[in-house]
Amino acid sequence: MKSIRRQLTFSLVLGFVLLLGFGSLAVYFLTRAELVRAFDAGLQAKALALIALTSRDQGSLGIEDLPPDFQNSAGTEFFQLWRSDGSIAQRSRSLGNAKLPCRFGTMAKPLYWDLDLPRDGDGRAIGLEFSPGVDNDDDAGQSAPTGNAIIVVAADSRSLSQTLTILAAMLTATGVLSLLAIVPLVRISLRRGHAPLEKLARQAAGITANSLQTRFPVSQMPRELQPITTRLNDLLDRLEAAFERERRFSADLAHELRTPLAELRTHAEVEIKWGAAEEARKHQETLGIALQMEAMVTRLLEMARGEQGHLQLQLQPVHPARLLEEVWGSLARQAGQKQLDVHVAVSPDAMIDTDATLLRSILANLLSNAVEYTPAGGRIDIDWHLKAGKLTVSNTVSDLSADDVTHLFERLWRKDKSRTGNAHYGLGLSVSRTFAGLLGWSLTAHLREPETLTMVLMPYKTGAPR
Amino acid sequence: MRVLIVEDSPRLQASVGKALRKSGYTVDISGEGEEGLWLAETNDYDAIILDIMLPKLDGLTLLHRFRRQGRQTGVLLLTAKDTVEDRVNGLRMGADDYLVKPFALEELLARVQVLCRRQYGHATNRLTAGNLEIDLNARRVTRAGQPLELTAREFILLEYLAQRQGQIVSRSEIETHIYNDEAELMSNVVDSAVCVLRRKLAWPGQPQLIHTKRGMGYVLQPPE
Repeated sequence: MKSIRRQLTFSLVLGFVLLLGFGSLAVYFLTRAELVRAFDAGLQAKALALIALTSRDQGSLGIEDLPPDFQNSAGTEFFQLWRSDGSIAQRSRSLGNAKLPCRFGTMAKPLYWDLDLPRDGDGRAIGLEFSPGVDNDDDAGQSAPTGNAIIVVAADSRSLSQTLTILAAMLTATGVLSLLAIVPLVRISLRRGHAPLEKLARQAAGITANSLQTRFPVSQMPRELQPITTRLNDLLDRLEAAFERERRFSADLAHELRTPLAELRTHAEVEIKWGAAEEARKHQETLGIALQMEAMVTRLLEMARGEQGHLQLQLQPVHPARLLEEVWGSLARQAGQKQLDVHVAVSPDAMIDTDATLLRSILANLLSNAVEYTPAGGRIDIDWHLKAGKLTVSNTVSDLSADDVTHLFERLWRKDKSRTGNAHYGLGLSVSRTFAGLLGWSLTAHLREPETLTMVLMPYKTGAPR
Repeated sequence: MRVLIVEDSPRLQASVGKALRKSGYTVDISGEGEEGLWLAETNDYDAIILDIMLPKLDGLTLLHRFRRQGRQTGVLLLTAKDTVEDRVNGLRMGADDYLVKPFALEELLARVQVLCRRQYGHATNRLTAGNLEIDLNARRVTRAGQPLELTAREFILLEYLAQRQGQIVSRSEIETHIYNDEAELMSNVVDSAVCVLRRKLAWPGQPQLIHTKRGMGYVLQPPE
């Protein structure tokens, strides 16, 4: 699954790495260029100083009064002087037996290059072609040799290399440390940036069919989230209106059906009592249909009212064992006929505060479903853990899949797609869950084993055992 | 007993009307509020079955105006409105009873019977006059412990006279409560019915229970 936070973290870190890399390279090369330029300027100054000391004297080209650096055989500065015919005129002692290559540029544009110096040192050199001066103290009348001379001056550049190596190491270390720091920083920043989004998600997750009146506080949201929050509120408006329409529709439909049902039922009852005897059976059937429809309409109305919050709770002390006995009383005969193996475990003396009417309705529905749908010879377990405030009704079932269980509480859902049979309408569990919600309880279904359905009724707010 | 049904559903009018007639009541029917109020004001009914949602004038307004005139006739609200608020509101507006649609016919008949009984101040469904006993639930009449065979119309006539035991009941009152408009066409129908009833109640060695008060009507009076 795509994660915006992961994507942003990756993009930001990658961007930072690229920026840091290019930045470091730029710093390194600019610094290196500046250092080399300064080194070359030093070389040039030394070369110009040597050129200034170079003179022709009686046909001989040479440098008098050499600076001490060039006279020391262990020195780190070198020079070599050529005559115009390519012969070597003079060399520094520091060169020992080594020679410098004869490469050169003009005075206006000297030539610089890196080279290996004697004694395995990195060095850098400058080569110049110049016109040496003439010593005028020499005898007049004797013509001086003409032609340019070439000088190459070299110096040990290891200090430059070391400086550049240190710079590169510092830049690399800074980059790595920054990278190590930037990942958690980016993650923390993104988490903080996403906090309003997560808060919005939590608020949205808390909205149920019974709390559609909830709206998100747009003004308290960050500017970037305000458009989506406004859209969500608009969506909730439409959703609430649609739910309200549906609930009103259920209530109105049920209400509108009351009069035609009364007509049908009364007509059937009148004809059964005073009509022709041969028609009585037909009218009995009509009456049966009317009574079934009446039960369904009553259920629909109960549910619609429960959902609309029109049912007022009458909390009172209720004796669960007695209530269970009372409800089971009307089902015991059917359970006996089906030879069901029924096990009941409930504390005999415990009491709970709840609405007896709603709880009775839930119990009647759960137990009648258990008796109805348990195959003949099957088992029913009724367990009321009053300390935990938890009621479980388990029964063996046949032909019920895990997918069916997810639909059990849907209004008008029936396992049989053909909806054959008139005893059940698929409303009982839906109504029971609505009632459970009103009591502050949850009602859930679990297919624990392949053939055991367990209904669990337990409080999530109030109604804990006294 | 004369009952008014104010109900806008023609099918319910027919069914409930038939059930009441078969049970011995005289029934008037109206399908809208204004006519229903007019009928209630111009006739002396023993009970009124009233729907709430009616054309022209709703049932609660009808009831309010009816009670404002000081009329005490028992009124049963028969309606699809089934909330506690609806019931409380209906009873506060002056209804004596409230039944929600759809309903069991037997329950409606029992409630109407109670309203009619209350009209004459009786609290039980058993009326006695000397050794005459009338079981309104079982619709059975015995004299000196022996059952009497009465038609529905005869039973309702006897019930009406017994409800008003000791009072002189005029011929027109009997016409109003027991018969529909056909009584006007056959002016001797009341006299004939009383005569037949008196004959059926006669028991060897027992005094007559129904007495004629010349020019005034009849009275059911057990011997002192």
